Amino acid sequence: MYQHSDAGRVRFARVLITLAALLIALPLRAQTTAATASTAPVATQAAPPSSTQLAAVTDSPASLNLARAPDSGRADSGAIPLDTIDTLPARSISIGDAMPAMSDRPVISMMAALLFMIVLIMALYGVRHFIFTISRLFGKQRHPYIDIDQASWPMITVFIAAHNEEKVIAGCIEALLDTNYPADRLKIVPVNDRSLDRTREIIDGYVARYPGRITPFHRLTGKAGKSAALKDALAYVEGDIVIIFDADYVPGRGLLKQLVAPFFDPEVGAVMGRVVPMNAGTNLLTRMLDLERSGGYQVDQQARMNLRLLPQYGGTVGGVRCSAVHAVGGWHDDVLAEDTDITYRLMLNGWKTVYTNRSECYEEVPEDWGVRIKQVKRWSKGHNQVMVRYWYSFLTSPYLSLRERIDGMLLLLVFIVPVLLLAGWFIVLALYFANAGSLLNRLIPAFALMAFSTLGNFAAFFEISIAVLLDGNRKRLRLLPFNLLCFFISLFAISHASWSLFVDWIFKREMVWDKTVRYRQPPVP
Amino acid sequence: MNATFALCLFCILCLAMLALPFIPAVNEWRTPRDCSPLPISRQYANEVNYFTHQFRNDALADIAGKHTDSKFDYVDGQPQQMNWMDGNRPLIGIDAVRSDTAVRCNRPLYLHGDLDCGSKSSLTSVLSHGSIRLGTDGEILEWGHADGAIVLDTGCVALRRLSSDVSIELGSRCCFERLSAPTILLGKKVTTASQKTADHLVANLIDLPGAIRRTDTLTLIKGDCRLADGYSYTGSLIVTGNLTVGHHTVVHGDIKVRNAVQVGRSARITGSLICEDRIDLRDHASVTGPLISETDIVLGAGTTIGRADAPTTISADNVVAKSGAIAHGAIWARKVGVVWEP
Repeated sequence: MYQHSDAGRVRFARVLITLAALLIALPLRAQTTAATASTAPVATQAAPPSSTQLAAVTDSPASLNLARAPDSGRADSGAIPLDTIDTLPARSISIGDAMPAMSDRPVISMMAALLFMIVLIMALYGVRHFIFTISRLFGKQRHPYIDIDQASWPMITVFIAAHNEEKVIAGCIEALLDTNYPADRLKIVPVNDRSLDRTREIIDGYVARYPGRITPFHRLTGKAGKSAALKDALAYVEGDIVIIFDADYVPGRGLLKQLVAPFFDPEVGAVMGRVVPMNAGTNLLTRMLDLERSGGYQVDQQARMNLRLLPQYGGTVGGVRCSAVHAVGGWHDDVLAEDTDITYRLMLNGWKTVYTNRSECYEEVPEDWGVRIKQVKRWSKGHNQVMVRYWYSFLTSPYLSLRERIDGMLLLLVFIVPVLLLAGWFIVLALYFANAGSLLNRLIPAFALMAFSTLGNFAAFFEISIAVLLDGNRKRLRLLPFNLLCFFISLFAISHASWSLFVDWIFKREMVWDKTVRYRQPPVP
Repeated sequence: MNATFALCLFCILCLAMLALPFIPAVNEWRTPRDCSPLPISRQYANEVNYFTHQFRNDALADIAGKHTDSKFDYVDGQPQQMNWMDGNRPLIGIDAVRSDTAVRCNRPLYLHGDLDCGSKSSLTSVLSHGSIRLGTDGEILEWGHADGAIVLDTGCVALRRLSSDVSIELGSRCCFERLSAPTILLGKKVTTASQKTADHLVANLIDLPGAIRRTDTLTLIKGDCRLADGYSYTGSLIVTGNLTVGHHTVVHGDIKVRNAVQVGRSARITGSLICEDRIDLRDHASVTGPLISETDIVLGAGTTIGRADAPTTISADNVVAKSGAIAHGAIWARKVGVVWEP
């Protein structure tokens, strides 16, 4: 397994910090130098102003304010008569000097530099969304394994992750029993993780009705959480491939073959199918999540596949190769997002993750905001936990191409972006109230980009629009403006989760896994 | 107009512009017109004869007289005298249809017996309980399925799907897209070359230049790789450059190649061969597992893909098969497949 020492990580962090400090310090130094250069010699020369300088004096209120020396006695007189310009010191009418030197206000300068960096990052993500969408529209669509419908299918194990899933577990088991995957090469293992409802009873009912087809794993003790339960369930695996479904998923007849087909490629470590909300029409939230899911899978994941980047394994409607997982250190149960954890460990060790856009499966999405916020917070914490663990290994992995590395890092930092965006808003406000107007004149392009990025940048909405159109749904696209609401709520939820992760880290608190609420009605016994 | 009024006007204008897209949004929210989940057919399983199932069921029900108002026309009289183009309802033939002349039918055709028609025949879609034989330069435009064998003579074209429960034989210069049968013979059968199995020298993949062990059974080669003639390797292989498999060499495992691959004469791969670029199989080479390319595949004369007891899939944008290639399972040519006889 490819790993790095802590010393290397610390060394790399130092280099990054130094670079960041230089980035911030350079403009300060440039300003100081400019200020020194403009004051010393020019003040003695008192050269006549050029036309540009005149324009600057007459056009810029900021310059005018600065030009009003306290002793000039003209502070309230409005415009400065041109005949007095010759008498003004040259310093007061130079453009570079019309604004305060950054070295005079180091905090403000740092904030401005930080804001500029945030804006650049937002723009980078905007470009990324745009490239993905264009690839999906005009690029070659890669589905290399989708044609494999006949083969010597390998032995596989299907896990159904279940924790208090009495409402939905039956649907998932029945769908798997109805699959066209050869029954003698399929082991179905419902992983009943300490359920307190009728989940066990339902599973055992199916075991009795279909003897030999289902091998239940009733987990009564142990660490809480899906990753811990799946780790324990690995003892039941037969064959090298494990396909995982959450209990609320209803796989189609041909789905297992589609998900297993990419594993004929020995380089593939994980496979991900497409998730489609089945309760899309329940309320405004589910409809907005439906749009988001479309963008995420139909465009984002497929574009990564097209561009030979790094599609992400999502922990359900997908599978992993056990030998690959073993080779990269096994299943971790101390993570909230075991899917992201596995994805990144596989990637940085050279295994490929494949996305199959046509392997669609229904799921339930949250129907109320509380559940949705909890879900987003869990994803955010889990993802950022992975980011902290692997960013350095990922940057220095010998198995990745440059484009994979860039895409992987952008994906790894994706749950930091809302925090940065929020920070950007606060910085803008702070700069405004700090009366840094003259300073900010130089950041007008940055502000333009910031305004663009304020709404999460429109490229993401463009991505959703194209995804929905590719899916053949036009009218639901009218709801897109409401997705701003989703965006704002996610922004604060993710920021809160990031802060919470930081606090957990400070106080060495263990993270708690929250189960997503199910809405389907349980089957009548 | 004072400044306050202008500012208010500006703010109102901005808010109005911002609110504009919310008008259709609110309409769609309050009176949903497009809120059903994305349709996924749970029964759809990417099966080659997916389209034939429903057609067969409808036809059999019609023959059994279950439909009060028939949705089909029936073939009556001699095929030569039959006007196949007259009408637009699907046709049912109770008996076998044999014709020395062309049969040109622009509607789905269900036959309870065999279909044997002359050169330049043209069928839209056909389902036969027996076998299907098309004379030279014939065409099947949408799909065809036979419970028995399918034989297409020289120069035929089979667009979309063609499947058989027994075998498909395509003559030279035939073009195809998707074929599925336990045995698919492309061109004339050729005698199989003798397999050099006894004198293989055993070698390890890990001993190859630049080899990196990934797992106990998987080796990675960064850059190009050549497997020497007449050796036997065990284990799976990933090659980031081009791969050349020597003549008579055997690889017991799966192979993934990022660039092009050339498999030498009578070489054998017992697992899958997956390649992001062109695959070139020389004469009498064989691959047992799936053979997948993202561009082109060239099958040499006498190559064998899959086994009769272990059918597999061949998939590429373009498939060129020299006469005598045999496949067991399915061939997908996403753009075009052709049987080439030099």
